[in-house]
Amino acid sequence: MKTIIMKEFATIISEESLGQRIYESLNKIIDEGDSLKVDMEGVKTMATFCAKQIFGQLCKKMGENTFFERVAIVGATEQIKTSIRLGILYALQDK
Amino acid sequence: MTINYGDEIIRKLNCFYDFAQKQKSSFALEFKDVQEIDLLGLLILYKFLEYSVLNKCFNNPYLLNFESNRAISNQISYFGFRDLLDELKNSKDSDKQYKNLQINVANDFIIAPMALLKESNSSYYLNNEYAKRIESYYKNDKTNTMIFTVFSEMFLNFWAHASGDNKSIIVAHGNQNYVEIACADTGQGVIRSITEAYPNCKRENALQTALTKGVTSKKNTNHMGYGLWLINEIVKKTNGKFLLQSEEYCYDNNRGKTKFRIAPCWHGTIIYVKLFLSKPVTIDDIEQENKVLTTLKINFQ
Repeated sequence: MKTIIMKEFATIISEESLGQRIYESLNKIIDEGDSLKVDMEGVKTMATFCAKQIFGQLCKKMGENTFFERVAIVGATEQIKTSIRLGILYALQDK
Repeated sequence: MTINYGDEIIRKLNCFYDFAQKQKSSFALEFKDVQEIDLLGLLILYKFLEYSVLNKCFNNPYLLNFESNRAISNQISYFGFRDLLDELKNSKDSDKQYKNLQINVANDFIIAPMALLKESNSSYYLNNEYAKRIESYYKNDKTNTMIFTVFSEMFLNFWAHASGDNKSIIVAHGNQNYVEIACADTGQGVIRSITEAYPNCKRENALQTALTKGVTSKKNTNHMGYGLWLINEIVKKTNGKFLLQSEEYCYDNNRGKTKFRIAPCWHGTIIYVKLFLSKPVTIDDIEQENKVLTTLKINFQ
């Protein structure tokens, strides 16, 4: 299992280009076949746009069950958890 | 020239739109009787002056009793508009001045006018300048989370409907009781974005559509149609103020009393938010009744 420390990217995740960089880093690990631990410790805010861009698109690409099995998210505040849930939900609802 | 008279300010100044490229001579704006100007009033005034310069509305216009009016000149300095206005007086493009963030923290904190350009380093500033200074000012985690959430969603909303350089700027001011954030641009407004994306949506319903959860003008993207709805809900729960204006329509949420109305025309979008801080609210408070979210088996540890 590989770990990504999210605060090394930023503690406020609210911009498209930043979200894209993070998505690509996570996606690379998944494409290499590893499981992934995303450490959200220290992240203060994640805009819903970025939550969808990162976790929503990853979940959509991997499929729900695979995503839930292979991706663990640690240290997220309740606010961040809600943003991630929304991001995934909206991504899965997209056609 | 305060938020309570926003319509009057725009109504008085939107004749500027008719003067584009006309270089009208002998034009004067009289400020003698202005008793007060606030953050939003100053932002609207600045954007109209900027429009008049960029669109060559006037030939050597006069701003009468502008600098000598203490109520105005004090606020210009306080909110950090001084350099921008000086640039306009010299009829240069003001991008240079407002590209760089200025943040002052004393008794209050001020975020001086800053350009919201996609290619600018706003994320860097948000992480390395805003966050640290605002956090050290407020100290309360939940308060900071609420403020950063509203900042983030406002940024993303302006970027969403910005095509090209819309001269979007953001200014903010806060003290221990409240935070106010104002954004304005002169590009494609919310009304046009929504009516282009939803051809059956009438212009008079476009703001209501924009504020509906899950409705976005950017279909099939990572936009969720969530940000404006979320801001509106946070403002309702904190008894704050939210103003969304685009073209000839305006939405007001004043301490939970909401109203859609016709307003004097603004070419672009204005968003103003005032958050009271005594009982901060975050996204998890807003969504606590949304049971669908907990059905997702995300591996949170």
